[in-house]
Amino acid sequence: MWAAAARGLARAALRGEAAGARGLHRGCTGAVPGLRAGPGGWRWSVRRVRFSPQLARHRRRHGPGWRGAPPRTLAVSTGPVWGRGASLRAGVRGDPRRSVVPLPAGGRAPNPTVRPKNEVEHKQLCAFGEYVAEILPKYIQQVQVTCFNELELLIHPDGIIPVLTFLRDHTNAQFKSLADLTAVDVPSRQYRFEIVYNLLSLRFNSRIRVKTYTDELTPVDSAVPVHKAANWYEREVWDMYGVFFANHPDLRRILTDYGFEGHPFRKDFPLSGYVEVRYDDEVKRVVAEPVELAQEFRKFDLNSPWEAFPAYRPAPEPLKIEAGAKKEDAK
Amino acid sequence: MGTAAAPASGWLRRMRNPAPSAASSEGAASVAMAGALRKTTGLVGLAVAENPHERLRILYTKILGVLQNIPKDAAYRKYTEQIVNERFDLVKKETDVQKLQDKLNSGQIEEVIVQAENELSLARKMIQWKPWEPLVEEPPSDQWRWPI
Amino acid sequence: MAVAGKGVVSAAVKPIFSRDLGEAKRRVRELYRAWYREVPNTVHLYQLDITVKQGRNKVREMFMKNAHVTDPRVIDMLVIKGKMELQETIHVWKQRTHVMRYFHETETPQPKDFLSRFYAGHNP
Repeated sequence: MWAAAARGLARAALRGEAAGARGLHRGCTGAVPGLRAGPGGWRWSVRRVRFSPQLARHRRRHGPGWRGAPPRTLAVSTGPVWGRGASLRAGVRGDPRRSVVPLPAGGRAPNPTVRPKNEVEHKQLCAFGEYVAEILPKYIQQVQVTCFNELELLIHPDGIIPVLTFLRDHTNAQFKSLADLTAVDVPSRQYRFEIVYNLLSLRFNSRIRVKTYTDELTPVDSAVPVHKAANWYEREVWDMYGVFFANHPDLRRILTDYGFEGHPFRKDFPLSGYVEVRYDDEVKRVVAEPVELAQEFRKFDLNSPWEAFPAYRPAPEPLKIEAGAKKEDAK
Repeated sequence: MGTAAAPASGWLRRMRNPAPSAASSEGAASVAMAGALRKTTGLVGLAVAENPHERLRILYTKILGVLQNIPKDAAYRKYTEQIVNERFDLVKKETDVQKLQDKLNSGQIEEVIVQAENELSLARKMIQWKPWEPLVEEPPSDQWRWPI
Repeated sequence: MAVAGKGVVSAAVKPIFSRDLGEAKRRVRELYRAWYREVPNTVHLYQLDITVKQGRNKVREMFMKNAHVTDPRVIDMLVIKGKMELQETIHVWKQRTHVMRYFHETETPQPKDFLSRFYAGHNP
C-alpha cells in the first residue's frame, strides 16, 4: 500500500498540475450540471444530482440535458462506451445545437507536457456516474471523475455487496472482473481505512473504482460472494491493515510470517517493526527479540518527502511564513 | 458492444460464411439453418444456444415480471424496463439469429442470454436490497477529502 | 490534519460477532478450551523441550495478558487472531521457532532501576 499511497500522491500532484496549467476545471463545471469543483479544483463530484442547486441553475439557463453531452455520432465513433446509457438519456437532451463539445482554450498550441484531455470520455463517465447514482441512491454518497478520467463511486460500507453486484450484473455495467482490491490508511479520519475496489468491464472496455471506508473494529462485508478474486486480496488487506472481512471463507495471514504481530501497512506501525530476528546458537533455532533502536529512529510523520506541488495543498503555511518575514522586516 | 467482442464476432461470421455476399443474398435463411451452421461460440464454457429466441423470450418476460415488484418511480425499474423492452422488441421482430445479434449489438446471442440471466438474478436481489431508498448514512465530513 | 467529524459518532456500532460482553466471554472460553486441549498435541508434534504443564501455563498467561479488555469488539478481534494462531499451530504451518517465540527464552530482561539502566547504557 505504500505504493498505492505514493501513486495517489503523485496522481494528486499531477492532477493539480494539469488543472492549474490549463484551467480545465472551470470549463467542465460549466458544462456538466450537478458536478461541483472538488477541494483542489481537480476533481468533480456528483452528489445526489437531482437536488443540487447547480443543476437547477443550469436547467434554468440551458434547458434540459446538458450542453456538454456528446453528439450521438461522436459517441458511436469512439466505440459505444455507455452507448446504452447515452441513448437512454437522448430523450432528455435538449437543443441538439447545444450538444457540441466546447473546446477548452481554443486555438492554443498543445502543451506536450500536459496530458491531453478527452472531453468525450469524460462526459460519458459523468453520465454513467449519474446513472449509477440515480439507481443506487441508498448507498452512493458521492460520485467523482478524476482529471485522468477515472470514475469513482464513494459508497457507504453497507452497500458493498449491492453495489458490486449491481455493477457486475447490470446490462449497462457488466464490470465482471475485479482488477484490484486494496486499502488506504488515513489515521486522522474517524474511519481511518479506505477500501478500494478497482473493477474492469471487458464488454464496455471501461474501468470503475469503488471506495468505501471502515475503522479497525468495524467488520466489512467480504466481496468474495460477488468476485472470487477478492479472496486473496482481502486476506492481504486483513494481514497488512487489520481490516476484518465478515463472511470471508478463509481469512488468515498471507504475507507476514507465522507469529508476526501487528499490521505493517498501518501508519502507526514503526518502520523498524517491533522484533528483530537472528539465529541463536545456544537454542539452535531462529529467535525473535524486541528491536533495539533509539527512539529517534522510530519517528514517523505523514509529511511526504516527495512534496513537490505545494500549490495543491490547502496550504495556509506559505502565507504564515510571508507574514512572519514581513514582521521581521518591520522590526 | 465492446470493442473486444466486435472483431471476434466478425471473424466468426466470416468463418461460418466464407462469402459474405452469398450470406446477405440468402438473408432469409431460417433459424434452423443458422443453428446448423453454428458449431461453437468460440468462448470457453458457453455452449451454442439451441433456441435463443424462446430462451430470451422466457427470460425477458421473467425480468419484466420481477420488476413489477419494484416501485414505479425507482430508477432501476425505469432503466431496466427500457433496456429489456428494447431488446424484447428486437427479439420479437427479428427471426434470423445472425441479424438479431447484429441489431442487439451486445455480443453473440449466447452472451445476450447470459446478460439477461444476470439481470434477472440482479432484479430479484434488488427487491431485497431496496436501493432506491434514501442514503443510509452520511459520511463523516472529512471522509472523502483528499489530499488531507 | 485536524480530527474532524468526531462529533457524529453513531451510538450503535456494528458488532463483529458478539452483541454483549457475556457472548464475547463465551467465545474466549471456547478458545481457551481449544488451546488447552491442543497443548499436549503441540508439544508432541513440534517435539518441544517443555512440559505440557509449562505450555498450559503459557496459554493461561497469554490469555491473562488481555484480561483488562472489556470492549466486546476488541475481545472478538483478539479471539479471531487467537483462532488463527491456533489453526496455524494445529496444521503445523508454524515451525518450532514460531511456537517457542511465546517463551522468550533468549531475551535478557530490560533493566528497571536507575543504576542498572545507567550501566546498560545505550537504550534510552
